[in-house]
Amino acid sequence: MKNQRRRFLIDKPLQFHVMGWTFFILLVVSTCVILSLYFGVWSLTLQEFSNENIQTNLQLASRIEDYDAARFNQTTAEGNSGPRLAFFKDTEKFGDRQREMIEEILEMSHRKLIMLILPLLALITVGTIYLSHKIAGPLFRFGKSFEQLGTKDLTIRIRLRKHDEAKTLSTVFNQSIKKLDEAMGNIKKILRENRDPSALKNDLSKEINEFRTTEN
Amino acid sequence: MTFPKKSTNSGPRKINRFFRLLTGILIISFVVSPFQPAQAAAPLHSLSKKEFLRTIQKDAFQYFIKCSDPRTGLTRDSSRTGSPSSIAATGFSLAALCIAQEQGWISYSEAYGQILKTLQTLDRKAQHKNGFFFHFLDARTGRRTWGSEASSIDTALVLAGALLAGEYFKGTPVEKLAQKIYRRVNWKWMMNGSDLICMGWKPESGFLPYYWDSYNELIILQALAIGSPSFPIPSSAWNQWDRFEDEYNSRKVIYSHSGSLFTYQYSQAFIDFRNLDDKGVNYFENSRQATLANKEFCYDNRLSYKTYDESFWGLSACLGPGGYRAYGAKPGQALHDGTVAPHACAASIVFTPREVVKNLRELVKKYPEKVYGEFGFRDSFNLAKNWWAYEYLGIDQGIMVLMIENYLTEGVWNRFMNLQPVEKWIERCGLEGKHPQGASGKEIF
Repeated sequence: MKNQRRRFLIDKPLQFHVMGWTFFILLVVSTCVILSLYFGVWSLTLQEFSNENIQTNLQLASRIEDYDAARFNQTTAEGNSGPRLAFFKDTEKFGDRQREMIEEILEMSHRKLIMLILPLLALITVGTIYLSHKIAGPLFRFGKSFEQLGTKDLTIRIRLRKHDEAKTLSTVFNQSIKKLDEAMGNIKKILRENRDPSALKNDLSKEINEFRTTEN
Repeated sequence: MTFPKKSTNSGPRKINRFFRLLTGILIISFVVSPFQPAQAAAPLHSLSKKEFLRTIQKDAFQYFIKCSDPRTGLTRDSSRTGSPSSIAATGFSLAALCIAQEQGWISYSEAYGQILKTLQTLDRKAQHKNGFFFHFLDARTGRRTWGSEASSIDTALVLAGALLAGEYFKGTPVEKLAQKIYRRVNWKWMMNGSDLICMGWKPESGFLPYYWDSYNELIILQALAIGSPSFPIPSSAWNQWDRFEDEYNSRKVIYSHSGSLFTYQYSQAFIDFRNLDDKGVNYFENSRQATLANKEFCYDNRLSYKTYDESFWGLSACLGPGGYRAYGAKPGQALHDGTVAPHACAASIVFTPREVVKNLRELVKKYPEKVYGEFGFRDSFNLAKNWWAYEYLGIDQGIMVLMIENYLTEGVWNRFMNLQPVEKWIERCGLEGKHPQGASGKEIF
């Protein structure tokens, strides 16, 4: 295919530099997001399942059960079918069981997290290579073009791939080179066609004066 | 010689020295003052009757300041950690704020702001079904919690508080909002096609299988439903509930099933029954007889329970050693285990003032630390089991504040009886007698 690059590493130092930075930034950002989500969610969950909270909730449940029983005339002094205060002495055991369950869930989610982190790292690596390639490719082309320009070759034009970055820049570059190419072509044409030295001088100065240079 | 010069400066120097001395004394007295023994406040039980009741009322009111959510105004069911808000406690809070403002415990703007915020929550945020609020709401969000029911009686209590606030702040947005919330309630729907009002409705199971079918706190619910300007229930509903009558120590009482004191108090915290006659029955007198029967029931059981043996009384729904129970006396189911609720006794002040004050004074004299705390009387105690509730319940705090106010000024009664729905209910049910027009807020004690 036209414009298809065969190698992923076109400019190794540049690409490694870009890859390093991109990888580092992506890694920091994703680590921060994962850690804050992980600890945010779990700290809330662990807090909800703390002994104190379980006890409070069970006692509140019992109280509301009592309210219903009192309102709907189902109470006896000893108690009704709902949870009783004696039951809450077992709250600690209940809390322990809840914590065991939480630990199991935690362990499972740790394993899943590790399984997720490995493909994530691979994805970040591929992503950085792709990104560096998208940046390094055009830069490589520009470098080569400038080199060619240094050899006074005004026929060069930059042609980037469809999804490459710096498309606008390459268009501007190509237009400027085209104008230079045309001007130089005109000069060559004047030299070829004019035999009269004064007319030649006039035509050349007209064409050359259009250039702005550091030396007048 | 420097003599004359010296003599000219001696005046300002003396003044300067005097001010230095004065400043020194002031600084020393300021530093030392916290370490000096403060003049001991008179013990609660030794205060005059009026001061004694006002102190109890003011302390009980503090609950509504501390236990109401500052963002929504919804009041927590109890002082326990994690307690949800109770819609009935919120109703009592609205009424208590009006009283506190009138007594100067909080400023007008403070009370107005808090009440308006609460009503706005009830109008926009609090979850309801056809105007009936769910019994327990999340105090922060106003969403239904603990799988509670859309409760008819608790809605009636919050509406009573809202309408009362509308009377206290007449002509303001508070009144308009209170009316709006009241008019939204579809009382007919809560009858579920029957002749009585259902106790509640749940989204999961529909109407509860319980109806307000006999005498208890249902009167306030019936009054607001019959007097409703938007969805009134038929006045015949007033005659549909049972009025079971029984005697205790020759005291005839139309009694509630539980025989709990609160059932004789809640409606009468708002409605002045002293001059209302329901086909020969005066519910004020009925509550007076029930209160005396409650006291005598405790006395008659003094040999079995230490609490009663020390002459304490007041059997009502409250916390007990085994949880919340609908304690009560005869006539009625009379569930009791020696647990007494000081708030129930205090809220009987309008019926039996002499007996109430004596009981409460004795309590704070004998057990000042155990029965009285941050918000006044703690919920309950049981001497034989050496059990003391260290918790406060919103509705129990509220009933004390309102009843003491009625006893001292008739302030709540006078305003509530002026409400159009109340007048409409009296007229539609043919309750005889006229409410005496007392001057609102005037001390009658």
